[in-house]
Formats: sequence, C-alpha cells, structure tokens
Amino acid sequence: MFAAMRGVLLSVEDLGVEFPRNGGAVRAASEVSFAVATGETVALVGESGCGKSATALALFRLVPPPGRVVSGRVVFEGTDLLPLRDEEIRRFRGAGLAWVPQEPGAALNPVLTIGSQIVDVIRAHRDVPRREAWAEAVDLLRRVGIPDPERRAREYPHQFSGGMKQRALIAMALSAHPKLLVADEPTTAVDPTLRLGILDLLRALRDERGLSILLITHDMGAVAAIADRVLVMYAGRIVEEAGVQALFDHPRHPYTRGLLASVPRIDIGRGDLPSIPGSVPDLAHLPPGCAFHPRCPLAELECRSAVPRLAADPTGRRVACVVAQREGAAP
Amino acid sequence: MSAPLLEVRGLVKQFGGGGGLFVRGGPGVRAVDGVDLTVGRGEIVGLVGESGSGKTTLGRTILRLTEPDEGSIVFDGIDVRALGGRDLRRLRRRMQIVFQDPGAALNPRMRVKSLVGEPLVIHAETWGEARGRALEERVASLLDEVGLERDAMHRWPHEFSGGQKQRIGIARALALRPEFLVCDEPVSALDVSVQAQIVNLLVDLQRRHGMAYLFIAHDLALVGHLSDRIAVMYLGRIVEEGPAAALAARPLHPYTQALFASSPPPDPEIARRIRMPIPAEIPSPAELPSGCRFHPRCPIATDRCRTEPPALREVTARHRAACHRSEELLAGATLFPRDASSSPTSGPGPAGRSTRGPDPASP
Repeated sequence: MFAAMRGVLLSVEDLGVEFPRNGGAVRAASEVSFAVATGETVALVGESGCGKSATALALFRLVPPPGRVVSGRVVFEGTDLLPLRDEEIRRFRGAGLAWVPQEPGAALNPVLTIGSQIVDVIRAHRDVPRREAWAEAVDLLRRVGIPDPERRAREYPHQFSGGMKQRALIAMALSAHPKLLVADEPTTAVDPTLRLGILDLLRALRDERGLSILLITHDMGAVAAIADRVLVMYAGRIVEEAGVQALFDHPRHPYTRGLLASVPRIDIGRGDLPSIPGSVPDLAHLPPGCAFHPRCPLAELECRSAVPRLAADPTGRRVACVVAQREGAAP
Repeated sequence: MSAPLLEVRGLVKQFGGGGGLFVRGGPGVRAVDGVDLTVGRGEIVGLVGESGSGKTTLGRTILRLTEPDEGSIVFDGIDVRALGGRDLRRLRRRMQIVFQDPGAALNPRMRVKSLVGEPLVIHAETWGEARGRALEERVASLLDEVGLERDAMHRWPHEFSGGQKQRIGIARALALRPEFLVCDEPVSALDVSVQAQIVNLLVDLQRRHGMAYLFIAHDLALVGHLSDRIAVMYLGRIVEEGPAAALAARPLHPYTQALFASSPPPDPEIARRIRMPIPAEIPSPAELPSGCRFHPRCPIATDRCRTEPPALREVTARHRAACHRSEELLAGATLFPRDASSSPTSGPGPAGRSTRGPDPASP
C-alpha cells in the first residue's frame, strides 16, 4: 500500500536462491516477493538460516557461488538486475543500492585510513578530484556522528571503536548517494545505548534524504523503532507481512506470535517465558508441508502436507498460515 | 540473615601495564576495579553492563579462571584466593560456569557422553566410580534434566543446534551439582525463538536445585525478568545494586536510567519515539575520566562529579548507588522521558538532546 502511494523503488518477484549440498540442493529462499517504496523502511525479520541474508545478497547479485539465483526478478527503478552483465550491475551497486555489512571489523581494510577508504568509494562512482572527495568523506563522517571528523578521517580502523566502525561503514555506504540502504544486522551484538544511536542515525537519514532502508535483523526492538513495514521469514519463505503497528498489535502467523511473546520484558515478572518449542529447521531437511508445523501449537492435518500460500487480505496484509487465514482479517 | 554464599570484597583485575617488548609501559587496564558483591544461597543476581564494563572478567575472576590482583573472594566461608591445586579443584565442583558461545565451549572431538561425563571422571574421588554403566546412567539423567534424549550421548557436538549445544553445556556444568553457577551471556548467541527455552530451563533448574546464579548479560530486560537482585557495572565498577523490582521501578544512577531508556518494550508506538539517551561512546578503560567515570556521558553531571569519584553507598533500603545525585533520582527525577518532545523533569545538563548531530548541509 505504501508502494502504491510513493512509488516502488525495489520490487522482488518470486525470488529463489539455491545452494548445492551433498549432491542435492538447499533452497535458501523460495518464492520471495516484496516491494520497497521510496522513503520506506522495510524490515526483513528472521532467525539464522531463514533466508534473509540469501535474499539480501541476491539483490546485489552477490550470492556466493556455488549458490545461485534460480528464479525470479529483482526490479530496481524499472530495471531487472538479475540478467545484467557485470559491468552494468556495477552502476547499481553503491549508487542505487548500498550494503552496510554486519561485521564492521571484517569489512574495513586495516592498512588504509578510514578517510581514504571512503574517498576510494566516492571516486569509483564519480569523477571528482581527490581533494574534493576527501572533503566529502569528512563531511559524511560528521553526518554519521563521528566527532572531530577531520582528525578521525586520517586514522586507521583499529583506532575506531566498534560503534564508530559501524558508523564509518554507513558513511561509506552513503558516499555513492544510494537510494536504498540494505543494512545487515546493524544492531546485533551492539550495546544498548549504541544500538539506539545507530537507529537514530538511520531514522535521520530516512527523514532528511528520503532514503529507503531494508533492515535485515532479528532484533524486534529495532524493528519496532524504525520499520514502516515488516516481512517475517521462516525456513526460506516469507510467512507474514504487515505494517509495523499491525504486526506488533496483532501478529497473525503462529511463528510471529511466538517470536514476539518470547521477548523478555522487564515490566513482566519472573515466571516461564512463552517459548517456541524445538529449534529452527535445517534447510536441507525441511519438514513437509508448512515448515513451521512441528513447532506450531495450532498445526492441523493439512499443515503437514501442503505448503500454505502467502495470501493477502483486503488490507494488504499477507500471511502464510491456513489457520490464520481462516480466522480472517479480524484479530 | 545468614552469611552469604559468596562474598567478594575490593576485587581488582588488571590487564597489561608494566611495559614489555611491544607494550608501552603504563598503568594497564583495571578491568575490574574494586568490586564488592555478595550472592546469597539460592539467589539469582543479575550483572548488567555494556562491552568493556568488566562483567565477564568479574565472573571469571570470581571462579579464578582469571587470577585476581587484589581483594578477597569468600565462598561459603572458604578463602578462594588462598586455595591452590587440589583444594581449588575441589572447590570448583561447587562453582561452575555456563559460557556464552556453546559451540566454542564444547570440544568438537568429544562425544556428548564424554563432555557431560568428564567432570564426573575428574572428580571421581568425591563422586565415586564414574565408569561404564554407572557413568552412562548419570549422563542420561543429566541429559534428561536439560531436556535432551538419552541417545544424544553417543553423538558429536556438531550434530546439535545452538540451543541444544547450550543444553549440553548446562548439563556439563550441572554434573557435579554445583551450588553456584556463573551464567555468562548464556543466551545471547542463540536464535531468538530458542532463547526463551534456555532462560526457562535455567530458571527451572535453579528452582529445583536451589542453586545461586551470577547471571551476566547486556540485556536489561532479560536480567530484570529472572533476577532477585541486579548489579549494574560500568568501566570496572559497580555503579548501582539493589533488589530487581526496586531497581527497575526507580533506578538511582543516571547510567541505569539510560540503560532502561535504551531498552524499550517491543511496541512501535513507544519505540519509535525513543532517542539515544546518552552519547554512545564508552571511554577507553585505559584513559578513565576523572571523578565519576560516567560524567562525560551524564546529563546531570556537575563540577563535583568531574573531580570527586562517588562511592557506592546505600541510598535507600538495600539499594545502593554510586552517584552524587541519587537522592534527586530517588525523589522522582526522570532524566529520559519516553516522549522525546517533552523535556526532562530535572537536571541542568543537556538531557534529552539529540546526539546524532549530522548537519543537514551535506550533499
């Protein structure tokens, strides 16, 4: 619905990603479809192995071989990125969609200064003199909240704290003026006060620049704080999609309900936390039917044989659960 | 009140310092810098702090997995620092640890039976014969306690999911029926849907066996959920400590208030309005601020705070804080109101300011 109002920036249709394993193939993502509108923040939520990272990598055509995209379209501003030649897709990476990696330590070159790494990205995309690019790098560092950026730009990654590295990577991602920022777990393993700092920064970028953000995360607090819309993934498929308030107020898929209920809250005393039994399935040995059925309190006979369709209700919410669909749109 | 199970006084653990071939001489880093802490029998004490606060080092130092430099550790009347070799090993069966990363904590070349049974074999002098059938039965009953099937004992660690590996780690820690367990971030490496299971298991085991826990975590909501008492650590020191309910209802240290303000309930209506309460950067433990270590990030710091380190003192019944201005917080000052548009009810400092500070004039 946001997409219709503001114009679709990115649309993913029927995306499938496979990794060969032991002679067979593991489906990391199946029939993944969603859209991101200009200025919209969409959260792609799920646990390890749910396919959220494979989906995000496919947007950049960076699924590591021998993994490959086996179906679908990734349409960015009207162009399908998947059939493009390598030199063509480079125009979109960085300047169209930019990636903020999860591990700031591993993503920075330890022997180059932070400033020169940003300068390299700027000059890879635009023909600007080095001096000008340097000024822009310093300005970007200032924008992401790095104090004393003129001095800091001349420092090396090891001189930056974890939080500052994370900010430097966001500055680097912004340097090519992207329209969509894909942020991979930016708040994972980050201290609480810093976590809010990163969310503040993403919110500011969205509000001031109209940047679209695809937030890949399992941090439901971060989702609540900045997302407009949420996609929940489980075992390679989107199982629910809703506006953020609707999702937190009335989650419909039993997996989403379980996830939200199991978050400990300080305002609710000791006692058993509601928990989802079992563990996340191995993609190579998915249960038949609905992949969640062995852990589901509502599972019926049908759930063991048929993969539920991700069906939309009149409000645009989507849920892949026959029980939830029968309950109807009313919570 | 009977003597506590664990009593720590003036504990110090220092890393580095003294200089060396590649290390510049200097004072080093006092990761734990004069900590007093007690844990009662059967009590769960939650220890929260951000990275670099020294909380993990404190947990390890109490168990002497890391040797302390100063201070005393008394466990059930025994001076832990005075013990050596055999006596220390004997005490270790009463004090165990559950690690953060269950994958790294389990030897990949040992089957579950050996992993869980190893402590029983090592401590055979107290536990009697730990071989063959008897050992197998003991391992099976431990696995049952943590919710794993008996035949898990014949498998290798890599065959298990993260949550199951943590169950194995817990079974191993339980093998010798310890009275005290250090739980060092036991769920933070696990999938969200599995975290609640492990938290429930730990709470359940604590109730069943009456163990005491030092539960270390950065997640205040989690610690608040299960603890009897909470201690908050910042740059090597405990800055606040008190009964969990009282501390959650009325934090008496600005840092604790900031931590609470940073952990909103999962509700978009509230979470969306929350802004970073204090600057995110934690000073380097190697260059500690003068006076109160929190003052550079504190919205209500005064000149006194910049020069005079506050002592950890009892502000109200059983509730201690290390802040010169705790009385104002006790009187109801809220430094970080939920609604960002309103201003704080107290404090001359720049509370509630936005610290993101990007200027809009960039390209």
